[in-house]
Amino acid sequence: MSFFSSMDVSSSGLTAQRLRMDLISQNIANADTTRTEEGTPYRRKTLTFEEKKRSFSDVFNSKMRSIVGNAQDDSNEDSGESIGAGVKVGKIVEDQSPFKKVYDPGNPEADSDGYVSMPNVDIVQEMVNMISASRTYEANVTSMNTSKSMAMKALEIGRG
Amino acid sequence: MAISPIGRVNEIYKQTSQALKGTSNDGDNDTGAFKMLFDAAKNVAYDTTKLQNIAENTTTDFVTGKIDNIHKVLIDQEKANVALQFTVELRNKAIDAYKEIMRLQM
Amino acid sequence: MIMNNLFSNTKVLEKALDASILRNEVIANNIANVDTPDFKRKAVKFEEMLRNVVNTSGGENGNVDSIEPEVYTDLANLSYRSDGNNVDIDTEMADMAKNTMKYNVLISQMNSRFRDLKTVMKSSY
Repeated sequence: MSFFSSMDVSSSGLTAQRLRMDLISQNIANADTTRTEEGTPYRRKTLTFEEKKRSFSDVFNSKMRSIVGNAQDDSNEDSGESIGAGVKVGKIVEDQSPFKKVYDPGNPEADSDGYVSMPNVDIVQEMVNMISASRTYEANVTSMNTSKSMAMKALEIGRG
Repeated sequence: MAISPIGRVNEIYKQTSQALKGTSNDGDNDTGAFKMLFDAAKNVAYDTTKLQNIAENTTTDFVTGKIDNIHKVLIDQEKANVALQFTVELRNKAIDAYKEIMRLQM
Repeated sequence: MIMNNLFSNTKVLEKALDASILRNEVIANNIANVDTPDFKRKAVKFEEMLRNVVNTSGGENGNVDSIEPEVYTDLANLSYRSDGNNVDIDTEMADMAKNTMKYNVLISQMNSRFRDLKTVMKSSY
């Protein structure tokens, strides 16, 4: 029922957090980029998470199995609500908050008033996000290890 | 109060030995005892086959990815093993009893 | 079926094992979705239902066939988070540890039952 699918759930969490880390490192690396391909300063990128729902074929198959299946198998898949299948990244968006204006008349990028538009990346914010992503990543790793240890323990039935 | 496994197995052994002593309620006294023993043996063998089929189906489902419930596979397999062991022991005891009876008739 | 009698005290254990595995998946899903906005944590209800049946029908051999573990959504909004997510990662980790211990105990018990049966059968009189 759930041994391997719970590992899939954990791995989806790992993937999502790793993607978040990638964006955070990109933001930090580009914290001083005043000119990108579009000509504007670098805009901070962020992402949205969504719960991954199980696909129609999964739910259909499990329902069919519980109705048609093995006569001795009287276990109902998913009585009650269905469990999600983990997390997925919804979309990667650019943060639309305004650029920081820094007074630096000597800079070749300075406009007529002497202000340079810097990327809207706040290093402190990115560090905090990085810690959060790292902690969530570790939690998902623990979750995956737990699922694995339960599966290994199950193999002891009948042994000895 | 849970019935212990010892109690359960002994119960079934007792039924079998009662059949040998001819305490069945069958109207026909000559073949009553043997028929009961034979039926008991048939039932046990049939149940063992059923359990083994279930174990095989569960294993096949696991291998083909239909289910991924590891403990179910192991438990079904273990039940089939225990049932088989029980059937074999029962058969041995029945054969011993038969030999005993054949000796007496000499 | 004679064999049903032989294995009837493992029925409760099997149900509990299934519930435990389901709970593991639900907790893994909660942990994976700790940053998802508007996600409400889910939990598995099984032990109370089992307790009711065992108490009312006397002993472990009550009719446990009809009980199935149930997944429900915990809509309590006591979380301090502003993104609508009510998953507390520390609670989830603790639940996961508890669940693993429970699972290990159940496996041990199941093993014991089978060993007992085999012991009885091997001993000859």
